[in-house]
Amino acid sequence: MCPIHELPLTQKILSVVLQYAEFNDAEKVLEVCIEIGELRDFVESITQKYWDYLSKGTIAEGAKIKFYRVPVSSICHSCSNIFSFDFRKPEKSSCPVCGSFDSELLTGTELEVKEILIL
Amino acid sequence: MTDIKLIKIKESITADNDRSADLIRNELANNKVFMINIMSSPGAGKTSLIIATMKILQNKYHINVIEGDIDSTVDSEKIIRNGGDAVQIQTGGDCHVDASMIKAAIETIDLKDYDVIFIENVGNLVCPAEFDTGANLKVMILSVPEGDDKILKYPLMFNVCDALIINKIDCIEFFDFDFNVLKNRVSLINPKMKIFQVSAKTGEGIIEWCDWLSKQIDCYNKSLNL
Repeated sequence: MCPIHELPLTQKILSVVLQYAEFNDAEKVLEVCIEIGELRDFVESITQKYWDYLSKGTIAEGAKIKFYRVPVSSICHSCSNIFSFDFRKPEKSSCPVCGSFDSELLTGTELEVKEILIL
Repeated sequence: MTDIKLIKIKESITADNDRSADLIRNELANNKVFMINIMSSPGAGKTSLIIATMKILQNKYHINVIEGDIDSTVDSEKIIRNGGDAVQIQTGGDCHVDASMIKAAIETIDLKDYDVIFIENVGNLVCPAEFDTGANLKVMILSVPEGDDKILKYPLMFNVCDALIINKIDCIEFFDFDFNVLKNRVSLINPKMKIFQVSAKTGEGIIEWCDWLSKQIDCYNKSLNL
């Protein structure tokens, strides 16, 4: 996987975090919670390294990044059942209630700054 | 003593980029320009497909191509050699094109002179899927030699695109590429995705793709006139 993929995204996370931290008169950012869908390629360890590099000299320096992985789920178009979805596995590609393959992704592509802990 | 505070944010990491992309779409709409973001891995045939498409559609539309590359002008020179207009973006190491880069490129184009803009994104199946460029249509190319299992590795790209072009079908007999396996997987992750089989080299399937694209452009223009 492209190892620089996380760099521009970490830069974006930092700018969202700084914006909210400054708005709330923070002296320091202690923790950043990120919500990421399982369908997103995101290497957690490299993100923290990029963060440590990019946040140097800002109030967010030294903050810990926590990741919340959101599982992939789909909603069935036939019976509206919501189920855990994995298109790589045939047994998890169809609705477990009615068997339909006609469904739509509901979660799994999230890419969000959820919350921050500040001082 | 200072208290620790928890601030709820719930903001998309790419919110900034998404806002810029929406502004670009507004500007394009004001000038009746339709923009298509073409994405694929390196070597799948983005430039060749754009040239083949341009040759058919240039009788109907005025076309410009924004070429995104890390550091070269090879592709924009190729477009110009083939009679097209092109603007080169050098992303300076970034492995994708984002809205701010497209905004800068569009500022150099007189939008009144064009109906259609193609963006040739940087060859990569990961990052370009994350960044909205302001395009009206997202198209990915998968070439036969890459295999029918790329969707298992890069599901997001297949999920965000409106159309999938299978390129290099002229050499399908040399590869174990199972079109039906791919089609079934696509139907699970993006049932609305339109699939075309083409060869930019021999021209096979290009007319079908151009007819469909032309319909999308005409629908867009009609919706602007409402």
